[in-house]
Amino acid sequence: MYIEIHNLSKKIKGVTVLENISLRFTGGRIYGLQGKNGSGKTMLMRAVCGLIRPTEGTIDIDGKILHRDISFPQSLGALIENPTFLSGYTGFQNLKLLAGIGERVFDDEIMAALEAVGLDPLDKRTYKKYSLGMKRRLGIAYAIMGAPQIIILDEPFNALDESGVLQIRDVLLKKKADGALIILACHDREELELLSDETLKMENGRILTGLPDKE
Amino acid sequence: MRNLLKFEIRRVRESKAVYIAIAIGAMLSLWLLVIELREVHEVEEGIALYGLEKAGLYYPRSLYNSFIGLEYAYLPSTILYTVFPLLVSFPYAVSYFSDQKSGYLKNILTACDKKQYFKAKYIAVFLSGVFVTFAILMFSLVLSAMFFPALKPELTTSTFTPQSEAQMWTGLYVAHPLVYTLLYILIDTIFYGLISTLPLLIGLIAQNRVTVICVPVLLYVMSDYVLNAAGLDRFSPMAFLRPCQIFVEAEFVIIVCEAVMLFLLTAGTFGLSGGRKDVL
Repeated sequence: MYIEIHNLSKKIKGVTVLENISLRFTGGRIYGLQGKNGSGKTMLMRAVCGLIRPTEGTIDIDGKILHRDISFPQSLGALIENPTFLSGYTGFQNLKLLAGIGERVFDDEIMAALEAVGLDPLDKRTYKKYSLGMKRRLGIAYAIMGAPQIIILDEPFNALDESGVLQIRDVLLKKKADGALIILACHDREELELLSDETLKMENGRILTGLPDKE
Repeated sequence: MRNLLKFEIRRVRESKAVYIAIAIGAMLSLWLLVIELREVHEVEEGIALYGLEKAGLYYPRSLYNSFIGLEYAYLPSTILYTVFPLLVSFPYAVSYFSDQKSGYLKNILTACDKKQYFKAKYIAVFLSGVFVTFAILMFSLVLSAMFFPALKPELTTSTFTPQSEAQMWTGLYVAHPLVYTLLYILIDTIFYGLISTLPLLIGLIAQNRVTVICVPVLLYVMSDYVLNAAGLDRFSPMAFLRPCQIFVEAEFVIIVCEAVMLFLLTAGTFGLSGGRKDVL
């Protein structure tokens, strides 16, 4: 599994939000994105998820060009910004509903994902009664359920308590050991450096440092 | 596509707003029924008091001038046919805009093909509009049938419409009123189903929920006003979608052409622009 980004640029309403980015990500590694607010981390993640179309450049995912050969990465789990789910459903019901869209994810896999992030799969509370931390955990559970090969997490540790951070850290390391390609954006530099195999610093839509090695 | 459609249809089925819209339509039907029953009671009192000779000839109320679509004199039927676009829009058509605003759309689009999603969303919204329209009109028809006999329309009484040869399917209405009524319900169901997809289009550019919900009904009412003023009322959906065809000579060809144009506009624009739109 690899993602290769060639000369990616994105302009929105005349403003350049991503500029000439070329990167290569490979499976079994965690890549950390670091940068101030508005530096382009989330935009880069959106581009990799297929949510935005590049103005220039290409994103190659395992030999398939995004928006040309495929419209979204086939095995992707993502949490972009704040997670949002349907307020009248429980966590399990929300994930089951969404699991029905894509490739088949079985109930026990959904339960395992919920347990992995510290949520009770049998919890009868609906999403609207969840605390901020629980909402964040549910977003992460959605991103990891069904063992995706690419996991993209934008600020996964926001609103989490210490035990939550430890739990998610364990989950990510396990997913990495299973061969997943993980891209992580986080404001907590220590946490990011602890988890990441490569750290990329972004500023004004450009990558400044830490270009990962090409294989 | 099948999974996406199942996902969307399930959301329609479980949406409380769909049932609220049907309940509003049902309440208007009940209100109309109360007015009609009171009128029948007053007429019967007059007959009992003065006798038929003094009260004049009396043709009893029929299902075919009491059903909300065929009744033209009272407020509930006018209200229903004015707010129909609102009733079919707010239950589910606004979901695309809400999902986009809340960020839920990202959950969906990271798991499926964008083009397939837009197709499924369009079909689900259309079906939600179809369901709401059909449920309201059928409820009203059955409710009227429970209280009024299915007497054939008697045009000389001037209480049944359509009554002019120039109006669409008047012959069918007189000879087979139930067939006429059911065919008109079918027309309304499809047309309001298409109108319910307008918020998808507006949701691509609008910035707030109220705009998305209200613009279709405003367009519907304003187009009626403008077309009436220009003497082109037969082109106004608000006029020709009422089965009683009050003050209008509906033409089937115009109804079909407008339905096709509405479909091409909504499906084409939502499908093409939506598929290319960035999800931020």
